[in-house]
Amino acid sequence: MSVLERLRGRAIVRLRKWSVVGLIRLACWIALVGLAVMALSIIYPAPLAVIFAMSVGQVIGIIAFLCYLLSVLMDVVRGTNHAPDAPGPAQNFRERTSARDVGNST
Amino acid sequence: MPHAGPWLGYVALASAVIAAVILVHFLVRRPALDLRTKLMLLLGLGVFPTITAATSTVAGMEATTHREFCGSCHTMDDHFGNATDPDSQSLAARHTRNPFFGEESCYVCHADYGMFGYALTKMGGMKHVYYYYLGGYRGMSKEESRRDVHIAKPYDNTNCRQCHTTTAHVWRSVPDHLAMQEQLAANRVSCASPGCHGYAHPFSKGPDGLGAAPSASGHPAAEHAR
Repeated sequence: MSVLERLRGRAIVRLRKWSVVGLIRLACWIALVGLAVMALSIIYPAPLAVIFAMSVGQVIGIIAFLCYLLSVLMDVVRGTNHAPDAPGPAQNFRERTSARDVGNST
Repeated sequence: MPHAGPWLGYVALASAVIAAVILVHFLVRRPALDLRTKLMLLLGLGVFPTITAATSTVAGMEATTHREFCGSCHTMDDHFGNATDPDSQSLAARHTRNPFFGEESCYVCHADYGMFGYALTKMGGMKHVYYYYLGGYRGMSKEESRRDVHIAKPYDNTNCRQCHTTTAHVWRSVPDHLAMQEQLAANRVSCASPGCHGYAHPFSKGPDGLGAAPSASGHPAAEHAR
């Protein structure tokens, strides 16, 4: 097994622990924090608030959006026969994973 | 970047509120994850936060050009107070009273006007924030800050010449200007020096009279050489 395949297998095992809805809910909470930071810098434009919003605030927003994109990816690879809030294997991933991974996911 | 207007802040706040409403609705009501919900989440997690980030960045950058922003650190209290003092005759105060400088007099005079001036000015400002919060300036008394806080590099005459062109008749009619034209262009002599137009912030140069001495007319700018 190549290093890439091993990394891919690990990533899939980790992804299986997350549900699409759970990940979106996490993205929502993170985005709310980022929005609050950015809005605060408008309401109260103190030096630290402005700099924090323009740096950390935007990173928080990007992380939230990446979580959303990851959930979209998970939703796509799962197919239509899985409930979005069900933690479980991604079908397209499962075809190429080892028997041990498949066994763990069921 | 400056003069973008307060509407950017309103746009940032409005888009942040719309995004927050969408996200809170999803978190509280837990709707089915159908196409409509996914599109709403795209708006709430992607489109509106992007608008908020872009507009709040521009509004934030504009906020950093305001005089109140510069004066919000206590080490700048004296500079802020002198610049806004209607009775002061310092260069900073007289320029601050000029409507062209408006609420951004610190930025207009201290900005770097080179090709990458805006970015370089902001990077310099970041250094000031670092010095204030992590470099010990925050704990300084006013006396210490008057003694230890200085301009980072000699003031560039180019900044004065953004407005005071050295080719106009009025400027060239002053003999001292013509005599020192090369030195002024090479920054070997500062426009804002005691022998010329006086320091911009004379109170910061100690109580020993190093600030600009007013001429008989009461205007330091009338004197050029001693």
